[in-house]
Amino acid sequence: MLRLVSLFAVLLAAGCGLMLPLSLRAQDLDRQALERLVAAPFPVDSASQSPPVFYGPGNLYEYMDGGADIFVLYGMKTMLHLDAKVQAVDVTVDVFDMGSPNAAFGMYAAERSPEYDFIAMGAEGYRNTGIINFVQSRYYIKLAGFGDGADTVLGAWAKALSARIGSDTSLPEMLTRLPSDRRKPHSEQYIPNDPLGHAFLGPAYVASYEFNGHESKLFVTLAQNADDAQERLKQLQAHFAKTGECVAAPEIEAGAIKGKNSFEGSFVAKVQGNMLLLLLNPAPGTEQILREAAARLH
Amino acid sequence: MARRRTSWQVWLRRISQAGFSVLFLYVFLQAEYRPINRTGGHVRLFFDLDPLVMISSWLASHQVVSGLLLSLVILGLTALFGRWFCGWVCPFGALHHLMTSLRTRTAKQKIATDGYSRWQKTKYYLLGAILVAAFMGVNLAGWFDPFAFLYRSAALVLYPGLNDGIAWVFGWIYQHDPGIGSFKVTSISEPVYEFLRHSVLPNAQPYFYGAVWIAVAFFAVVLLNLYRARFWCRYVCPLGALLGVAGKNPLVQIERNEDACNQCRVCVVDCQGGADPEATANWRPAECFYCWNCQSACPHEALTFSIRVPGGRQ
Amino acid sequence: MNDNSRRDFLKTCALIGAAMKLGPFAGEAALAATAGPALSIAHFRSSPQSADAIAAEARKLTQEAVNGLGGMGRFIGKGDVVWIKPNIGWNRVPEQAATTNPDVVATLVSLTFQAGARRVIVSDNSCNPSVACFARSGIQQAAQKAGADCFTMEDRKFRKTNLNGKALPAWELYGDVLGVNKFINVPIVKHHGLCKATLGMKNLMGVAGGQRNRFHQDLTNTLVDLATFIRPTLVVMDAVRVLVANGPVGGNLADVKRRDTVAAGTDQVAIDAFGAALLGYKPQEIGYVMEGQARRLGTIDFESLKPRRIEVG
Repeated sequence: MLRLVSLFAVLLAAGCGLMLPLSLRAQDLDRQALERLVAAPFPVDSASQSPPVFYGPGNLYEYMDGGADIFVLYGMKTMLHLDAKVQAVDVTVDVFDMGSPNAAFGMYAAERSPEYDFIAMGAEGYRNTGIINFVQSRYYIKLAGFGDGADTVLGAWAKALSARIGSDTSLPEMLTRLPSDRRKPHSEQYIPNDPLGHAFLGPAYVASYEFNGHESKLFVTLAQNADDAQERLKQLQAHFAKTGECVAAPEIEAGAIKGKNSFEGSFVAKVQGNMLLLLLNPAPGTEQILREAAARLH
Repeated sequence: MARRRTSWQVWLRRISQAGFSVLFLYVFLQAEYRPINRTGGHVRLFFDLDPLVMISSWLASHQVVSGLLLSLVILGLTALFGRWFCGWVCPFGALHHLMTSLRTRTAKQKIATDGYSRWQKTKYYLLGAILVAAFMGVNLAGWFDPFAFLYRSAALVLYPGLNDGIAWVFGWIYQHDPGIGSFKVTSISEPVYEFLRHSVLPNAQPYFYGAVWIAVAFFAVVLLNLYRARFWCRYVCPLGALLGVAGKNPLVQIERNEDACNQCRVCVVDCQGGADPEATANWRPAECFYCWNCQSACPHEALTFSIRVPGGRQ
Repeated sequence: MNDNSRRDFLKTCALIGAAMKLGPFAGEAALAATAGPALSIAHFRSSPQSADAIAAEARKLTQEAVNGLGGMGRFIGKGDVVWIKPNIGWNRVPEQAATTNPDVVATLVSLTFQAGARRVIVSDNSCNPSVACFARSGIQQAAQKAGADCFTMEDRKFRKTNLNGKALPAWELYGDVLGVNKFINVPIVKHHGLCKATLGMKNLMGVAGGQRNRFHQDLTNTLVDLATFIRPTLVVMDAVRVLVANGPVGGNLADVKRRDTVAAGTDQVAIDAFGAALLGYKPQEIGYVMEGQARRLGTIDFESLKPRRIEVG
C-alpha cells in the first residue's frame, strides 16, 4: 500500500515537474519561434552570457530608448536580444520579428543606405566593421560584435541564423516588379505610414531612379481597391492644388495628373488598378517610368 | 544523561559543510557578467561533480561531457566509503541540516518522528522516474537535482531579493537623508553601500519570469525541515538516492560496542539521515550521511565508524 | 527662474529634508560678471586616421575650445564639485560616434581639476545596459584615469524634483546631480530618428530617470523644461566624429563622418544650432532648438554671438 502511494506521489511530482515549465513558458508563439531561431547550440561554440531577453512594442524603449520609436512605427511584434561570447569576441544578437516580410524589409531599408557594403545574406544584407544587418522573411536581424575576430564570428552567426529561418531568401515580390531600368541599386524602401508625411500615400513601395545625375522617386501606394486608389489620387491632387499647382496630364494617360510645389518638387501621378503611382521630381522625358511601372504592376 | 562535548569529528564535519557552502557562494557570485573582468566558468564545478547530471545526460544523449567524468570519482568514493557527500559536501544538504538544527523539539519528540521511515523510499522512485524520463529525452533532473535547485533558487529568488532589500534600505536612507545637526547618516551608509556594490551585489539585476514559483518551492522545501529532519535529503533528493544505491555496502560502517550500549536511543535523537544507528545489524548505510552526530551524542561512547574489510566479521 | 518659483522649489526640497545645492548651475549674474565669448569653435585643419592621432586631436581641440572662452577658470572655482555629463548612452565603441569621445571627456576632467575643483563626477543614465556602455565607450577608463569618479547610476537615487515645466511639472532627477556646484554638459553631435538631431539639450535626458519614453510624447517642451531647470555651467560639444544617419543608436561605421570640431559655449540654444548645422540641418528643423529660443534660453543665430574660431593643427 505504502509503495503504491509512494509511486503515485512520485508520478504526481514528475507530472508537476513537467507541467510547471510548460505553464511558465511564454504562450506567445512568436516568442517560441524566436527562441527556436536563437537556441543553443550557438554558432562557433559561442556561449550565451545570460538568458535571451524579449521586448515588445511597449517596452522596447527600455533597451533602445529613442531608437525604439521607429521599430514600433514599422510594426515590430516582438524582438529577442541575446548577448553571447566566443573567445575574445562579444556578440550582440538582436532579432526583430516585424510581423510580415514587407514590414521587415521596410525596417531594414529604413536603416540602409545605397553606399553600404552589401553582402548576400538572407534576402539582402550589409556589413561593416563589427556589424552585420540583414533581412529574411519577416525577420530583421542586427548583429554587433566587439573584439578581435568579431567579423568572422558575425559572419558565422549570420549564416547560421539565415539557415534556421529557412531557405526562402526572396525579397517582397512587389519589389521585383518595380521598373528596373535606371533604378538606383539598394534605394528601394517600404514605408507603411505617412510617406512624405501624407497618410494617403501609405503604405507604399519607394524606389529612386537616376537619369544623368537627376534623381526621381517612384512611390507605389497600395490602396484597398480601385475606388480607394482614386480617392487617394484626389487627395494628392487637393494637396498640390493647395500648396502649389496641379493639372491634368492627359499626355500620360486619361486621369493622370501632374504639378509641383516649392518644398516637395514636381510630380506626375496616375492610378493603376488598386495602386496609386507617384513619380516625384521626374526628369524631363522620364515619365515613361510611370507607364513602365503601370505595365509591370498590372 | 550528561551532555557530552561535541566530538571533533562533528566539528570537522561542520567546518567541511561551511567550507563547501562558502565555496558555492563564491562560485555563484563569480558567475555574474562583468564586461571588463571575465570570470565565471567555475560555477560548473559543482555540476561536474554531480553523478545524477552525468547519468541522466548520458541516458538522454548517449554522450558524456568530459568534465562530468569527475562525478565518477564521487560515485566511486561513495561506493567505497558511503554517503559522506550528503553529510560533508552538499551545500543544499548543509542548508537543510542548519534548518533542522533550528527546530525546538524535545529529544523524545525527535525519537518519535525522526527515525527511519518507509517514506524514505520515495526518493528512489523519484530517481527511477527521472532516469526513465531522461532515457525518453525529458529533462527532469534539472528540476530535482539539489545543485540545480539551490542554484536556481539563489539566482532567481534569493540574490535578487537580497539585492532589492539592501537597495531599498540604503535607498530609503539616501532619499530621506536623516541626520543630527551637520552629521548625515549618508556619510556612513553611502560608503558602506558602495563597498557592497563592488563586492557582493550585482551590477545589473535581471528579474525572471516565474520567480515566484521558484520562491514558493524553495521556501516550502526549506520549511519542511521543521516537519521532518532533513526532509529533502531523506524523502526527495534523487542525487541522494543515487548515492544511496551506490553506497549500499560501504567499507566504512558503524560499529557499536554492545557492552557499553544500554539502548538509551540518544543516538537516534539527532540522526540526520534516519539510518537507525541504534540497530547496528539493521543500520541503513544507504540512508546514513556520516554526520557523526550519533557518535558524538552517545553518552557511553559506544558508537564509532570504522573501516570494515569485506568478508570480515560483521 | 524667477524668485517666486525659486522659493516654492526651495520649500519642496526642504520637505525632502536636505539642504541641497539646487539648479541653476550657471546663475546669469555669475557668468555676466566674467568676461568672455559665449561660443568658441575649435577646428582641426586635417583629419588624421590613426587612433593615437585622433586622440591627440580630440584633446587639443577640447583645450583650445575651452581656452577660447577664457579658460576653465572662468567657470570652475576652487573647491567646486563638478558633474561632467557626457553621452554614455549606448553600448558602442568611440569609432561608432554614438557616445562622447573619451579623450574629450578626459581632457575636460583634467582642465576641471586644474581649475581647482575638489571633486569631479562623470556619469550618465545609459539607455543600453550601463555597465557595458561605460566600459565599451572608453569613457569610464578615461575618466577614472584622469581622476574623476565615474560610476553607473543607481535606481534608488533618483529624486522626484519640481521642474515647473510646460511638459514636466516634476520628474525624477538623479539625486547626486542636484548636490553639485557646477554642471558641464558634453554631448556628441548625432542624427536622431525621432527629432532629427540629438545635441546638448537632448543630452540632458541622461540626468532623468523614470519612464523616459514618456518624454517622446512632447519632446520639444520636455527638453526645454530640462534645459531651463538644469542650465549647465558650460556646454562642450564633441563633433570630432558625428553620426549622420541611423542615430541615436548607430553602429554602422559608414554612418560616421568626421567634422574634426569641438565647440564650447554658455548659450545652450546657440551651440545646439551650431551642432545642427554640422549635420546639415537648419535650426528651424529642430523643434526643441526653436522652443529654446522662444523661451529665451538663447539664440539660434550663433553667428551673432561672434564666436571665437580657432584653427588647430
